[in-house]
Amino acid sequence: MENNRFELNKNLAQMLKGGVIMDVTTPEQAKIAEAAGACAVMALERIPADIRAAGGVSRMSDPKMIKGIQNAVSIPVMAKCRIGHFAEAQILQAIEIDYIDESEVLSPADDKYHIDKTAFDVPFVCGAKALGEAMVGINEQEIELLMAERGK
Amino acid sequence: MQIGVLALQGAFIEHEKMLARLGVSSLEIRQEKDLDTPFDGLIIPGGESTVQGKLLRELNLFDRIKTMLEAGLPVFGTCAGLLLLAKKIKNDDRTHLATMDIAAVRNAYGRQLGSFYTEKEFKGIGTIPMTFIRAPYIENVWNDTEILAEADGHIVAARQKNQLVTAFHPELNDNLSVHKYFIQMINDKHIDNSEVNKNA
Repeated sequence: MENNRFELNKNLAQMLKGGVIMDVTTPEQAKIAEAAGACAVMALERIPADIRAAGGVSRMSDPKMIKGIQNAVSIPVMAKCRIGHFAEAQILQAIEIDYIDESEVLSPADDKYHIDKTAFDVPFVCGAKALGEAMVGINEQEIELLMAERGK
Repeated sequence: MQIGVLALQGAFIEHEKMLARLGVSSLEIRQEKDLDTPFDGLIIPGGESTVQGKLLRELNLFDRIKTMLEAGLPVFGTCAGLLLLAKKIKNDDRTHLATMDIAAVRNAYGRQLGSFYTEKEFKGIGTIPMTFIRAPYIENVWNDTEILAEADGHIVAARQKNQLVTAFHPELNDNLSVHKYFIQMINDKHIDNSEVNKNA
């Protein structure tokens, strides 16, 4: 069996269970989060509430700032990219982020399509706590048509 | 036989499922009073060693578990569990239970993109699946620590008396052989003890 990225990425999620993931904006904050017992940190320029309050276009964080956080801690580092913005996701993969969060907190870059996650080797975050939440925004009619096409 | 599984953070349920498949009951160690129930061995699972190390201390589990290990309680540490047992961690000033004569390197294969799967020889078992997730490896061992497996020139499994460690995660694959090996270690210890009692 060769390296199966899907399995390996699921396995990383298994290691984070029971832990707390903290939003941080600087290497200093990341160190505090790690010392306080966080099992991972989410690197972002401003905390989501501030981003929403400020309005305007909010983008992926500066890779230099993310790298600073990666160098400051030993726990996994996650970062957000805009919905549908696969180029931002490619940059995050290139700097070896541990998880990408394609997040509605940032300004959506595509009003129709999300990023094709199967094209990536690093895992993406899913914040859904149940199947119902995971199904939000999914067009049920379209699924029925697809299933009918496949004879299911 | 009952095996304690440190259940503070990480992949402890996976270990419990492996033990259940082998017909061995497990006991989740979450707080100090859980240590009052007798158990024959302890598994320290994968997760984040910084988190588990902090919780071990804050929940007053640290000293009691360290004493139990020093008294010979069989222990099996995977990934973060390996780091918690290591006497030296090359790229970290902090050590934790520090009961085993090994020097480990944290996140030795890099970040998640460095996580990988392989199949390698494990001494006394044969070729087994090995899943490495942001894994450490062992740089060197000393005293009576025995190397049990190597992958790409690095030590990934070792044993010292009643202590067993793997840098990979046997609980993530279907193969039960490393857990069987640990159960055998516990059985062997019971036999040793009864020999001692006979001689006494």
